[in-house]
Amino acid sequence: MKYNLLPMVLMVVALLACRKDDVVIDQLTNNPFDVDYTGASVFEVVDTYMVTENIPGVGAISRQAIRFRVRSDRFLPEQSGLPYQVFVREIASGGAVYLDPSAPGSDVFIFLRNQVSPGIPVCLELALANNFSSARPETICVTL
Amino acid sequence: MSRISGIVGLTLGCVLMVFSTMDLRAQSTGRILFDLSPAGTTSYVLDGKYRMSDRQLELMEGPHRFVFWAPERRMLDTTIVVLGGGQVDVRIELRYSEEYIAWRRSAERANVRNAWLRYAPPVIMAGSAVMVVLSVMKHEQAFKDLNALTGEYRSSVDPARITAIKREELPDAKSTLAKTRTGLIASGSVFALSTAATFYLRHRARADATAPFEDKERVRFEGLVYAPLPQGAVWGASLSIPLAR
Repeated sequence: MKYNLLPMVLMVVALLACRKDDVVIDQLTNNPFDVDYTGASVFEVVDTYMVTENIPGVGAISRQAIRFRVRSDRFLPEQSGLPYQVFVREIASGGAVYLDPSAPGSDVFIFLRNQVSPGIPVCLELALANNFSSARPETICVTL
Repeated sequence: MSRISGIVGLTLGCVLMVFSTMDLRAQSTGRILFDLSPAGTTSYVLDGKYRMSDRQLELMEGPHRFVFWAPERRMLDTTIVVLGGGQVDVRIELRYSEEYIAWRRSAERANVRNAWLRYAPPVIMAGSAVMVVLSVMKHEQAFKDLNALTGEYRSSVDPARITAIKREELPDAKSTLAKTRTGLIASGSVFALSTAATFYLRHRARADATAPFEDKERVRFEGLVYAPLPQGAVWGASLSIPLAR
């Protein structure tokens, strides 16, 4: 009788071992670093202002700074504290750059334009990035 | 008269001499030495009366009917002429009976069939049990891989890596999990079937043991012994009941 139980136990183990696949790839869209991210916007404008730099031999140069914040509170819990960049492309000029945070560990980024355009909206395409690949792009517009 | 009586006396004397000679000839015996195969189990019925298994006989001269038989062998019905004062060496080799040959072929076929039925399902069962264990391990690994990729999707901050996970690695992992689940179900089904077959065939083998050989030649041999007695002839019949079964 003991030997009769052994196959039954093995059968039950085999049945219990049958795992269900409940991963739906199309529904994996909650990672802000995903190109297919469908959640709320992760960028918000902080402000824009003019910066004057004095370069020896050249003189004073004015640039427009656009400061924006990444809503890291919308990151997934597992991504907390991980380093990242932001890919910035100025829509009007097409110029693009990868930005690091303004301070280590900060979520605030500053984009400097070489031109200053008071009263004219400047639009930027922003995307979270790492290793030279970028996520879903978002657009922000600011006016000095 | 005396001549007639002399002739009658001579005639009677001759007749008596003839009778005495005949009597002497009827009293003459001969010996038979049997070399029987199979030795030890062969027995015979002499002149339809006496069942014997002696290897040496002293018989009256003349023809005698012998019916030889041994278990599983065919009966041999023959007549042996005994020579007065002489010795006859007789070699008897009994052939297997047709019924026994047929039974043995059938038993051999049944043995081969039973061996397959007895040993194949347990071997398949053991093999499929190993397959079940391997399938469970593979399936579990595939499930872990899928979960690890899902976890990596949630923790990754590398868009290119996330794209690779979603476009290539997750579909592959899901496919692998489905395949291993199919393998698990298949090996589990084979295991269940072979287990059921093993228990069923084992149960059936106990109930369906090969029937023992029924020696019809033995029935014929033992069944009829004709014994002419002074009170009248007797047919003797016997019945064999195999108690070992």
